[in-house]
Amino acid sequence: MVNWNLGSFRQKFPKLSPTNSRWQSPVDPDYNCIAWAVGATDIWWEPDPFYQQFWPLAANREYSVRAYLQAFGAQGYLPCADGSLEIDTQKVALYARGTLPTHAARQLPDGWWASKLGPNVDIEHSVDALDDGEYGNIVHFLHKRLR
Amino acid sequence: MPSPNFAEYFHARELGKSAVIADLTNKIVLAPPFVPATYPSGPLGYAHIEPHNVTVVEAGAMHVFSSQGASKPRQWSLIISGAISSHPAAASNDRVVLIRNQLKAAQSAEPITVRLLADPAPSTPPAFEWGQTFKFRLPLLKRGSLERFRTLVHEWRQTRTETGSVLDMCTNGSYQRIIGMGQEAIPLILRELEQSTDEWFWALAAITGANPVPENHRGRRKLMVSDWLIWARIQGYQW
Repeated sequence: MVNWNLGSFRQKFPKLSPTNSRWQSPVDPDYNCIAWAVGATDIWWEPDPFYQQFWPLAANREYSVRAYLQAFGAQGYLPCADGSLEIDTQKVALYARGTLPTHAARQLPDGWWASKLGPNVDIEHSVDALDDGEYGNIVHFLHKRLR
Repeated sequence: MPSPNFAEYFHARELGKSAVIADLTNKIVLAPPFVPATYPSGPLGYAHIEPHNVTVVEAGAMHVFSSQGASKPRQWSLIISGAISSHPAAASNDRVVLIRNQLKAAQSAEPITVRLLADPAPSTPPAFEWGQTFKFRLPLLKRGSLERFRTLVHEWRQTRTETGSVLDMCTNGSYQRIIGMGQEAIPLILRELEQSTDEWFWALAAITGANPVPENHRGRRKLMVSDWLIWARIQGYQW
């Protein structure tokens, strides 16, 4: 486990601690949390109004939870009950602040979650480590069968 | 009497008011705050503009002054802030390209004087039309704009979220004020974009109304930078 400096991240995510998170990779502005959640590291997924960023054509190009569910749906994800670890199942957690979708995290095989913090670093964390912070809270879990 | 083969381009930014530039042989009449200068003599002849070519320069606009000569164009000489460079002009149509490629957008509050000396062909398009082209393709900076831009960029980088979305970054107040600068900010943004692939796409699209990023480049930062810079060059922006 890499010991990372939580620094200002604690101000944004008050529940974040050395015991519920671990640093994974350095700053990389080429991809964001949504891309990372679906496994991409060379593209930024976002429904910006100027059509500069990638967004699945099957999803509404708007900042709404519904549109984000559609975007994940285009990748085969469907809403599910919780973030419990299930065999042969990939899960994603969608965060929102009020009605504004803000973040997504992807579940890891050990039950922790992988998050790309905007253009910043990648971290791995427990399911509740980012709660009540800049991203708000988890509003949906989604899953898809891996085989 | 020197040959009247002369064209002058005057970067009239920072005038603050309309001014008159009259250019006669060995006499350059420039309304304040311009400082009269002497054109160099040489194979291209002396500076000369007929009285009917005297033109009112609008504050913040860019104009090209040109006399009409009968000889074939051979070469342009550019005098930019005291440095002289010469460039061949194969055809009259090349001239605009040449000018666009050579002149830089305003970068500071210091006025820049640029003069072109040439042998215009009879087919030379009216200088006024060139001026119109420059006026819209090369946005000029008002006094203090560069400093304002730099301040806003600094504030934006200090205050934006480093863990959020493009939406978060671009709805930042300082970023919105950069967008509010309008066309004037474009060359400055292009310079920033070229130097560091920061999130300038939203501002460029918002100000220009353009979107040169094809669908298969969306979200791919390096390709998007290239798309915007190529588009800007085609549009005639200088930065």
